[in-house]
Amino acid sequence: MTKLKQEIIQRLNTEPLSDKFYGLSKLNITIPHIYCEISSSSIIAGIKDSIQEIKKYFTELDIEYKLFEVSCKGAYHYQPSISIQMPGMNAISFKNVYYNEVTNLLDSVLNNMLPMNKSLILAQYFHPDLSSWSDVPDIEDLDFFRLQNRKLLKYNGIIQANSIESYLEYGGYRAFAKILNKKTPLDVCKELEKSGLRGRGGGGFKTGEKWKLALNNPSSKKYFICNADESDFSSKSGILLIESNPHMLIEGVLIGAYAINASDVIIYINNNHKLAIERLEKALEETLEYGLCGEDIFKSAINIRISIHKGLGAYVCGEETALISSIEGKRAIPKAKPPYPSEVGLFGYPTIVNNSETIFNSVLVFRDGVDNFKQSGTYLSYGTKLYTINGNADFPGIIEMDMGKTVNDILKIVSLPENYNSIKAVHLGGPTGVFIHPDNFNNQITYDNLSKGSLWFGSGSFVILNENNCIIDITKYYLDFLNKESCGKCIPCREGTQQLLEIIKRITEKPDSNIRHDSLIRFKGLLQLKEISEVMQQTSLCGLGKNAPESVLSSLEFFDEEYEDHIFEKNCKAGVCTDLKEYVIIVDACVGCGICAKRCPTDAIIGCAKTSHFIIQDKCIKCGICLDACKFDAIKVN
Amino acid sequence: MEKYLKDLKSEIDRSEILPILIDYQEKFGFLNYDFISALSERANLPAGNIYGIASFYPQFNFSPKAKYNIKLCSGISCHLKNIKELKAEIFKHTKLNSNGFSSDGKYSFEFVNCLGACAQGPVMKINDKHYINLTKMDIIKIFHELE
Repeated sequence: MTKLKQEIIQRLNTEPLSDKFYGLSKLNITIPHIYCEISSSSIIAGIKDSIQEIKKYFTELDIEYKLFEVSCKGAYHYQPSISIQMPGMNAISFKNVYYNEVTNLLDSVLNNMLPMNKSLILAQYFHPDLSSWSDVPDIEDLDFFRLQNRKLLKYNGIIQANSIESYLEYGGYRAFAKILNKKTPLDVCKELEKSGLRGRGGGGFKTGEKWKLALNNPSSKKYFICNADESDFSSKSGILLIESNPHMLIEGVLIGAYAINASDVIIYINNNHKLAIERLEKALEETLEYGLCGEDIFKSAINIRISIHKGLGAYVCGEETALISSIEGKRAIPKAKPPYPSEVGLFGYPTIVNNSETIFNSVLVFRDGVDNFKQSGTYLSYGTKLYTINGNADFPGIIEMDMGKTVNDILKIVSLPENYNSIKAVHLGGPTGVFIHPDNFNNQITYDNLSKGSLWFGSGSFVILNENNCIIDITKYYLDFLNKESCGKCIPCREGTQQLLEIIKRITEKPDSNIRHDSLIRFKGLLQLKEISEVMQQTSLCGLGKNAPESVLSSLEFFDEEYEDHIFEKNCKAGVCTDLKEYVIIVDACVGCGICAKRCPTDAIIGCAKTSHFIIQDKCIKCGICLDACKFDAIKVN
Repeated sequence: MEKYLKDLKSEIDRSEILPILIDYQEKFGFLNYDFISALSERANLPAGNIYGIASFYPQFNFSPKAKYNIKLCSGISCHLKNIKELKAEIFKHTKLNSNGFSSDGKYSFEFVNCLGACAQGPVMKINDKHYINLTKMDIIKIFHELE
């Protein structure tokens, strides 16, 4: 054991990092290497079936091969994705390899030929000393990857998440070794302060400053908590990072714990992220074996214990005091600040809570140096940010961009040019985020709202909305989520989200009675929306309540036409708010064929054969199936 | 349950309660009152406190799930793909009541926040099996097979 530790110390201190990086393409390969990208989303997409098929193929033909599980590139639309390197050739990546494609694909690739189905080919990893595939682009040249600035995601699709050796190969744990040998905790905090790294969770507090506060606290026991909960369900970036590189997270929390003299690290993770937990647990075992955490790390008399705390996702856990309550075994309810957790935190001891993405970035600061880190991003917002692309994107997935890029820059990557015009809005920042009107697509996305019109990224969830989406429906959707997730401690948030939701619901539904001033009552709701929002923003206890009305306010500001359409015309242009409509059967036109009653998913249509049918409005879900089904135009929409 | 309790420590720290509850639900499918009261004795807390922790998270169930537990993803990507119609289709084929349970106890239905396959939506999960790129025809087929 000690021999292994000695070996690691030497490796970490001497082994130089190679500058040249050729991705998966490696020299001296004698048998085919297959790399399968495994992440929680690719498992759903069916990578496991493909792997089974691959194994079956090779055992049937009795060919020697090696199969590796690598991390996911972050491109959801390419899943399930595998890469193959044949001896003497560049590694080549394939996309959408479902199990029924495997046999044909391997048949041709093993003969050093490209598959017949050209749509499977993604790109190759170019290496100067290997022969390349003709007519296959270099992966660096693909727009999806070229236009990003992949720093955290650099090794995604290449690194093996379940192996510490793979991480060490790509420069892992060197930053931590350097710090342990040469830097005092104060140096670490100062260096991080200099880098200008700020919390990626949403608060935007300067990480270096926060660590320094905890370091200056003389308490004998301190805690360092990593919030890997990813409570915003629409953002997957943190989980992708952990799934693809759990060791980097561990290196980050080790650095953080060292910087604030904490002996206990808790990684709080949502129990639903099974793969991430599995890989983290494996990674922790390996680091213990290699002597990188635990007691007396590298004979420096420093003890850092890391434990994984399984929680369940609650949006309010993004608030650090709520997260601490949850770990203490109470209901996850936030507390008033001050005192800040850096003074009185978990079990009364000083505690630092950092988002997982922040911790990943802190490793970058120490691995590549402060200057290198500061090269990307803009003034006061340095580094890169991960965005989760959702909605009507042509290329959904997770991308990494410099801070200070515009919405248009992101759209260039994830959307086809011909679809630009149909984009109605972008919703940025998850449930507490804002709608962005196309007029503002050229504004920078940064932390600071100081510069005029700059946008705030929140959790990094980026939802593209087009003509077929209704802004009010999305607002309702997010409010519904927030209303459920509100912890119920403070009244402005608990009651406010409820009332906002009620008002929006009233706008998207058909009015109960046909009183003549009904539209005016609904319009009055709009004024009340603004009033309630203001109260919530000023008086809520935590970030959830303060930011909950953001979607409502931004939709009111930029898309007031849609509200008016819903209120006065009772019309949803996108056709989403079907509750505004009413389907009625015209008695004279109906011949009683009964097709509509058969097709109706909720059995809302009743009637005897050859007599006129009738729609029960309470059961009707306004799907419009009966309208399409009727051959006699007997159904009309009110 | 008794065997599970035997394996537990006799004294439980408050911070360990949530992981234990999660673990128990994974093994048995739901939390029952007997377990909560047994846990409260060991943790030296009123049973109400334990129930309070559990009821904070919507993922905990206090009643058993049906044989086929249907989870329809209502993440933002799936929401934009009109899952309302799929829900209606599922309700039609499984004869679910409005509370999400079928009267024969065979099916139960719930919306979940996000299952994590946003490019392959709409996504549905029945017990442990995922169904991607769902259409109405798929649903008819799936439930025909389950019958």
